[in-house]
Amino acid sequence: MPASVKGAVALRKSLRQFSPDLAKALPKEVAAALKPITRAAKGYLPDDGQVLSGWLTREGSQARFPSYNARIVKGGIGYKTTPSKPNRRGFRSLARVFNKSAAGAIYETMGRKTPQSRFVQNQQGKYSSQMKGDQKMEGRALFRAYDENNGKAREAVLKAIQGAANKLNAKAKV
Amino acid sequence: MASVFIDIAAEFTGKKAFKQAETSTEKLTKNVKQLAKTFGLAFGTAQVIAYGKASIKAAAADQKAQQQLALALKNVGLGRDAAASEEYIQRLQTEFGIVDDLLRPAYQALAVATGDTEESQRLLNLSLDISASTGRDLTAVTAALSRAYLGNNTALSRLGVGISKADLKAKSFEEITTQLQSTFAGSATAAANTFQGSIDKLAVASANASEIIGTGLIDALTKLGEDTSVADLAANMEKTALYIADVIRGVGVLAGKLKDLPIIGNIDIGMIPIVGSYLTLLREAGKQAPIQKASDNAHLKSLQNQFTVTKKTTVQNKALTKETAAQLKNKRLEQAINKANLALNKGEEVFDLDKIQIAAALTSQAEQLGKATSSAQVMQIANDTARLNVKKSILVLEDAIAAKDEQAIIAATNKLNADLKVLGALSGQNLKLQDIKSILDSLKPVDLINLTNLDAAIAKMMELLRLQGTKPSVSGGAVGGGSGAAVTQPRSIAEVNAAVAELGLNTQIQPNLREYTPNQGMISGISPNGREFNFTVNVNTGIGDPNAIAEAVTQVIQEAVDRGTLRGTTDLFAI
Repeated sequence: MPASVKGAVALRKSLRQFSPDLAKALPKEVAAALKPITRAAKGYLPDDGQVLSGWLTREGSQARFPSYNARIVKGGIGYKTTPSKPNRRGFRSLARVFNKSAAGAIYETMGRKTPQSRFVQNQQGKYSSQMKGDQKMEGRALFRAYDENNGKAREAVLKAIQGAANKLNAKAKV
Repeated sequence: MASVFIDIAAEFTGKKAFKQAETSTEKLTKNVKQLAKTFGLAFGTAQVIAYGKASIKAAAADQKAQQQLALALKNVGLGRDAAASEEYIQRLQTEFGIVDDLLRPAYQALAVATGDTEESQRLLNLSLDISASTGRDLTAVTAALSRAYLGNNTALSRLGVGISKADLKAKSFEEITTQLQSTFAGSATAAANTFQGSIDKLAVASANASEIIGTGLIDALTKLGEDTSVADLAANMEKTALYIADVIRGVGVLAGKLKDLPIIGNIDIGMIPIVGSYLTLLREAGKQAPIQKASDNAHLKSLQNQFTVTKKTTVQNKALTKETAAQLKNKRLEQAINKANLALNKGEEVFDLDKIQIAAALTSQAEQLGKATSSAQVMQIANDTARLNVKKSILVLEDAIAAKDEQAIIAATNKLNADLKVLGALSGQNLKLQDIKSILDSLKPVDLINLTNLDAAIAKMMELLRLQGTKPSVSGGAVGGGSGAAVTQPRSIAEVNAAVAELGLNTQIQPNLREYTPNQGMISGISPNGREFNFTVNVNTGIGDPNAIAEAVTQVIQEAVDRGTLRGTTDLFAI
């Protein structure tokens, strides 16, 4: 569950309007907090030689199942520090880490429901990996990295937002 | 995008959820309204309140629009026509069935563009015709016309009114509008006379009725809520509406009951016992109450009165301003003339030859002083300088007198006296000066050949020629020189040529050579071979060192020879 913050979007607007330097500094601080997770997640992803040969990209293949390409998959892991659009429940994300490639998502979550499937077993046989996290937050790369981060990133992000708010308030005082 | 992501922090904005809730509420409201309509609650309390509110709103909006128009007209200098313009709009409204809410902005746009009431009304009539004929929005048509009035025909060309781009470019605005008037003449009237036009007129009447009722309600409620708060006024409004609704409902019930009576054909409420008389009294009281009608334009008339008073004040102020402006203008003119005089004086100084010569002479004297080798020269320079200073002081004094500057006059007089004293001291040394004069005379340039020694010079030349083995061209006795000797008469070229022929020479003098002409102040000698050999050139140079002048002239001639523009050598010239 993400930490719920009040007024962060308004804070960003205020920072942009009244303190552009702080407005630039805040995303940098947030990014610094998120980078360890993405770096670790990329490290947990297998290289091309560590996945099943049939899952790799083949020339002339018309397969619909997303093929694995380590470069693309690792490039698909990243972070975002700008507020997102509100979701169905009215929440806007302020800081997010993601694994956006299809093959990366498959590797992330495979075996959650069917750990005994042949594909999962074969892949585990070729490159053993560990799933960490709970339920929907369980995974091999990003979720694992987040789990191992033990909430440090979250604290750092909240601290950065709070710090920016405090600095802005201090500036606003005459 | 695969949905594998982790939100580290998030904020609840709830926009989407609330919007859904809002939409749901709106839907519910609509359904409830429809339900109410289904139940036929047209005369329900809520409806009466709503109509009352709408009427008040309409009346307020109408009043605001009138004031806006009046203000706009005032700002463009048409304030005096505010009432007339409002009446014109009311007339158009009734005639063509177009609500004043549309007419006012259109008229305002035209008035702002043209700044002329008559032209605005003409263009609005034309706009109504075009709008009725083409089906275009009145606002768009008036906007196009107002832009065209200001020279931008683009919008007018887009209206599709049958005027080509070439015509728009070539014709003037007057010609274009005349063409449009002939094309769309009577369209608005024809449209107003149709069934749709009649409906529009009814709609206008309904809107006006709403505004009139609204105005009445405002008046009535203002009276009810006098000296109380807005909350009381609002409460009174609702109470009145409730009361009116009940009355209307009661009238409905009464009419329903009376239907059963045989005399219901033409019911006169006044004839109803007690209730009828009360209602009639109420109506009369309402009639006599000072209710403002939309067409009364009372506030516009008051504005017009204010404008008249303001106009008088403005005229007076303008007169005062004009006088002040004239004074300022005169003052500025005077200042400008003074400046010009100053500049002219400066210019005169620049071109004042006396001053230039004095300045040049003083400079020359200063230079000569450095070169002077004898005390006589120094004396002469000092004397000249003193004279120049006297002359300079005289000029300064003249300027000061012309400028009527007392201090400058005194100063210049003192300076002149001082210079005169110096000059007097120098003039006492007459002997020295005589010496100096003789010395200077000896330094003066002497002409080798001039008017006085011309004949002698010619004789000399002949003598030289003879010595060189040639025969003289002039018979003896004709040539003489010196003072007291008979002056040789000038000879023509033909005579000279004849003389040359006698001598057996082939040389002929060219006819284009000038002859000796003493009256023209030019001296020319003619050699046997026909070439001019002598000119005296007088160079005017102010006061200066004769040697320096001679040197300068020699240098100029030498330069001419070097350039090739003068043939011969400087040895041929005596300076």
